[in-house]
Amino acid sequence: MNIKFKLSGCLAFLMLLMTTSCSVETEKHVITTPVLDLKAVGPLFEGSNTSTATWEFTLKELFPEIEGEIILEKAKITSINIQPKSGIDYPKIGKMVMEMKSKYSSMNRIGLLETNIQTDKSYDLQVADAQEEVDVAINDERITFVGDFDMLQEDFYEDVVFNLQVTFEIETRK
Amino acid sequence: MKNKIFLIAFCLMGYFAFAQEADDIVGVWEPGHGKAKVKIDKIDDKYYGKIVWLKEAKDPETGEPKVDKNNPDESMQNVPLRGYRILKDFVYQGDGVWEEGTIYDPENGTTYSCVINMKDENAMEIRGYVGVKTFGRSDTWRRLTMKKK
Repeated sequence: MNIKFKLSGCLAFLMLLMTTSCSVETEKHVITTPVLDLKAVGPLFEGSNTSTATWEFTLKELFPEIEGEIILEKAKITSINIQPKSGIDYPKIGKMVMEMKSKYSSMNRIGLLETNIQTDKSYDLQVADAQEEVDVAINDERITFVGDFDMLQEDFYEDVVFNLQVTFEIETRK
Repeated sequence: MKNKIFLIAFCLMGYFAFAQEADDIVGVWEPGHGKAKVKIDKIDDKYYGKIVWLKEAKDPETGEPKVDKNNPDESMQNVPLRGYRILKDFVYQGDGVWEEGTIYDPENGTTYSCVINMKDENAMEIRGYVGVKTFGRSDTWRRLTMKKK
């Protein structure tokens, strides 16, 4: 009995030691992109149309307070906001699905807007629960956001441009 | 000097020919089952395909437009299937082959590794697989608007 107790105590201590030695101290940062132009080049036709926006940056710009090597431990998207630009004509637009990609990350779905878009409103998309490779995309320092929207009218011969802002929560190694 | 110019011109011609070949996949395609039409586009340096037409656009149970109800991520199960990007991240390898991509099957919510082989200008073989290419399933897709020769 005594030996069993000692053994389980040793095992618990070992597991605690392993957990503490493997955990890395991190620091959380909230980073929001500048307002990006999410643009679909016309002519556009009824059904699904694709708009894209590219965000280029350097890790040094995002984390100016970090000295030395910047190591990302975790990254996730916490909000995606789109807004039609004022003073521009828009066709009737329904749902929008947002995806993102970078050089070394796959195209991953990050958000969904289920309502029709009105030109005088700003919209927060529902952010995907399952997010993959966000840290890889940040490390690539160039991200392409892809917004597929459903156009409800037959055709539209101008470009369609939205303001897009995406917020990330990023953990860097201390 | 002349040799150098000739060499550069030759390399440039090769590059443009390769880029042109890579874009051969761009267009609207119909899978073998004929239930959908998929438009393949280039975004940045890779190729992607999304559903632009469905034979049965509405869910017979709900009467509403079909959505991705089998997606393993519950928060994304209301994404409409019309406009759904099912082919992702294909890179042209030369010789009419696009690899490194995936294909999503909305019928079961599963994503498979995928390779595309152009058979001729208006037909391509799409092979989805898990792990090893040998254990997979192939389908022939036909281009909807015939390419002019």
